[in-house]
Amino acid sequence: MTSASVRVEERNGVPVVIISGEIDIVNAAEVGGQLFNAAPNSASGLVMDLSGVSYLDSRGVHLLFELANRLRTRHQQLHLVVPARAMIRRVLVLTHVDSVMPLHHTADEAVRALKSGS
Amino acid sequence: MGGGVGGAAVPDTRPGNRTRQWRLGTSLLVSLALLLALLMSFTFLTYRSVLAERRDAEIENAAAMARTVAAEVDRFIHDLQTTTLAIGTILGNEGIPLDQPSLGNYLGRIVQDYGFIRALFVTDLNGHVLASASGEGIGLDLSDRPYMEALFTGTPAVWSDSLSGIQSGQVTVAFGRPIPSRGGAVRAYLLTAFYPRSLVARLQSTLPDDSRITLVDRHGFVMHSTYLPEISPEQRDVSSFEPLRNALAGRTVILTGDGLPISKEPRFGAIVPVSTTGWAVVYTRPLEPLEARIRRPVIEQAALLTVAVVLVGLIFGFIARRLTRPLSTLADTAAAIARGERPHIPDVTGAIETSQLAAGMRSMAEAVAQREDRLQGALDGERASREAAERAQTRLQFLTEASSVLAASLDYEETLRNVAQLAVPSFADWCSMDVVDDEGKVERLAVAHVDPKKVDLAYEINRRYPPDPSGGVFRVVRTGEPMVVPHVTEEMLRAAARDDAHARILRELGLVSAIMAPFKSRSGVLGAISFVWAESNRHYTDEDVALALDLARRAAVAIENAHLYRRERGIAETLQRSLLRRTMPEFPGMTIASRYLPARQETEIGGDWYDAMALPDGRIALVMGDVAGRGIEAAAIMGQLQNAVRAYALEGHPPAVIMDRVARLLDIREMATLVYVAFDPAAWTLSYANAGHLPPLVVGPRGHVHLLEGGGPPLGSAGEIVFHEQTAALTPGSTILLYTDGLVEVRGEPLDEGLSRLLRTAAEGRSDDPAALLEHLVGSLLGAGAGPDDVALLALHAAPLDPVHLRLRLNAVPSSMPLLRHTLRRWLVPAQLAPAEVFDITVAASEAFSNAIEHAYPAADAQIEVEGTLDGGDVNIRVRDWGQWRQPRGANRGRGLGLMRGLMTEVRVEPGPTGTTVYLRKRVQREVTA
Repeated sequence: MTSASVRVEERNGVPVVIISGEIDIVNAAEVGGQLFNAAPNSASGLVMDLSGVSYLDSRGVHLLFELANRLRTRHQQLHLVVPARAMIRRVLVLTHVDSVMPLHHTADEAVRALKSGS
Repeated sequence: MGGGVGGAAVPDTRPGNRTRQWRLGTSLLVSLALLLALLMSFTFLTYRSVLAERRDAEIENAAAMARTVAAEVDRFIHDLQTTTLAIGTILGNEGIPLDQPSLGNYLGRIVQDYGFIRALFVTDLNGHVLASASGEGIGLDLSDRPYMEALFTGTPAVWSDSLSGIQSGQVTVAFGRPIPSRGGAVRAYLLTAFYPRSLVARLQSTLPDDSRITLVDRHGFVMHSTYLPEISPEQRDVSSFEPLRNALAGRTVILTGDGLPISKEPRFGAIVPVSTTGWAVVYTRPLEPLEARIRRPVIEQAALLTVAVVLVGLIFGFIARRLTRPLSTLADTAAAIARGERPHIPDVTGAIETSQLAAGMRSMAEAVAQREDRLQGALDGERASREAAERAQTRLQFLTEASSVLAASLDYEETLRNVAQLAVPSFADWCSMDVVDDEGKVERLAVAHVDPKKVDLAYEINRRYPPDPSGGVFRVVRTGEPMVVPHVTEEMLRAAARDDAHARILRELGLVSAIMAPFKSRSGVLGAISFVWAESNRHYTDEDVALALDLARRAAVAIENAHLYRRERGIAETLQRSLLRRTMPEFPGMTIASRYLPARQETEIGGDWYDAMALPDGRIALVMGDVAGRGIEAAAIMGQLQNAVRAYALEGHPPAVIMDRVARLLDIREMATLVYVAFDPAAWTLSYANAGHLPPLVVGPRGHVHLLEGGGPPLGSAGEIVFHEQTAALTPGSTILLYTDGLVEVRGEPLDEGLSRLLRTAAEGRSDDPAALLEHLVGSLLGAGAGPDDVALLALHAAPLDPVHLRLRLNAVPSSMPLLRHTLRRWLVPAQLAPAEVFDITVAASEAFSNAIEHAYPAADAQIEVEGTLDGGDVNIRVRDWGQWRQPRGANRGRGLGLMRGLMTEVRVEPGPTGTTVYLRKRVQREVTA
């Protein structure tokens, strides 16, 4: 069993999804569903805080790409929060996630970036 | 007599009972023997008296003879004296010269004339022989002889004693007298001599042959005896013989059988004295011939008597036999009549009296038989009514017993078999049970007969001739109507028979009467019971039919209850089976074992349950609970509890929180205990919470045991409960044991004792093999099996991983992935790798594993092998499957391989015909602590 908890907060009108735990083939679909519903149509985008994610593999990466694609159809942006020393950062870099969606060190930074529309 | 029935009048024909009674033949024989003895003794007495008489007469006779002989001797002596006197007178003439020439011839002539004189001679006055008849011995001097000396003294005549003959040496007797001259002076002496033998021989010739004469001189010397002619000189002296002395004294003595001392046999006779010379004559005859003469006629007479008596005895015996034989036959017959038999009265031949007796007995036997028949009739009537009452009693008893058997158990197959056994032989010779199975088919459940061989035969007949599905039991089951055949007829058998052989077999079974009653219930006909009378030759009555229907109704209720119970029990068992996981999750380096022992003598399942699961964070949870109550309700609560615990546990909550939430979620009214233990194999720590359950037990690698104490009251207790989490460290190589109270509780014993027994027993067991440990505990503490309560056991043995070499075989399913990650971390973290390196290797191995799942093969039980080696600064991982390698499709699929290559130093994929192997290598910065 893999477990991950998903919590949604709103900072300055931006929905921030805080995920903690592990994301793998077992719970990727479940987590993905929760994430997609977390972003209302009115929002300009979605911040995903992956600071608490201790494990993420290609399945999780696939989930991120899928989510980004789906948000894009609604003209919404996906910003990720990954601390500098987070171990999953190497996975995101290796799979070129950073070329599709911006990575931030903190949630505030991500919210700010999203609001500014960069 | 009064009140005596039948047997009192039976004559006792056995001998020797009471006073001895003799058979007629025996008495006859004894009488005859007595008669014979009497006659014999009479004969003997007669013989004795006759013998005595005859002997007396003979003795008298002999005495007379003896006197005659004595008279003869006397006459001879007298003659001799006269003769010698005459010769003396002649020779007295002095003119006759006294010399041999003158007298020789004269003397010789005289001797010749007398014959018995042996010698005759003349001597001078000095005793010198002058002349002799034989002419011998002239001049012989006889002066020294006693008889000569007597003559010299002037004795007119003298007899010598017995002498020895001069020439012959024979016994001789001499007689002498003086020859006086005319003047009266003695001129010479004349002497004669004779042989007593000759004298006696002459006398003997006139006497009976067996008589013997003995001549004895006055001194008691035997001169001659015809009894013993050659008598020796020693034997001659019989002077000491008393009768002889009497005779020599001048009395005649009678000898009645003693004879003389010289005789060797009994002789009789007499001793008569010869007065002239003082001699005695003994005349004897043998006694034996006399007695023999008398004895012979007596023996002849006795033989005749015996023959006569035996003849009479035979005649009597024959007559007695003619009488006793028919009598004893009749006596036996009379005894048989008295015993109640009806014997044939034999036609006896014999005396008219026995024929009359036989006729009398015949009429007596008939009268007795008639009376017995009348009595028997009355008895039969009474017995019939008693039997009817007994049958009713038997029926009632059978119904009671059968009912209690039916009510006793829910195993209705066994119950019906028992009822069938109960029915024979009191209610049926055959009893069979048929039930309708799940598919609606009629199935024969039981056939009972007193003889098991007959049961086999019944099955054999059924196999050879399958029963007609439209008749018999099938019809009863189909219609639900009973079938009663009070009398089985030949037509019925013929109609039922398939062929001649079948008809013969049916006939041999000897079916007489039958009842078939259906098991009717609300849900339809469940089967039927059949009762058949055969060899008992009885018939079913209306009462029997009522009983059969009653019993069938009860059986139907029992079957229906059993069905209902089984359905419920089936559900409960299924539930419990699903709760008691047979297959435990597998963790590298860990072994889990479990046991569940249902309670003895309990039909319903108990409330013990357990669970084991891998938690998302890599920990392992062990759960055990015990719900009060049994059966389907307990199973339902167990199910709820297990699901709730599982759900909260998988969410990753700590033990106390899980307990708390479970207690809140479930409104449990029943008492339920619950213990939850989470083991972190990476940190070697335990965290647990306990709601009223017995404390888990830890067996250390060296056999040290301790309990995981602490906890709260059970779920379902009144009031708000706050659960606290307990923690403990676990030594690698330890075993954690969870158990229910059935393992340690013994009725009437404090729980502490059970627990300390468990601790002792666990310390003796193996700590490295949980299955063996459970086996040991069950064997030592429970022996044969569970006691009155169920027992559940769950044990986990946790061993540290090999630091250099890791080898895992995991199911090829996505759910294996967390275990893979946790195991890799357990292995790599203690090897002093940097967290980032651990992460990279974990992700890369997971990608390889994920690929293997996705493309390898779809088989449900497929497995993937993951092997890791720590080789100095290199970590090598090999992921191997036995499927078909497929090229990754699409961007996302290729991302996995990219990640592996990005994270690892070297990635090599080796597809092969039997599977694919992915090699991963990463150079790491290990802080090798040598």
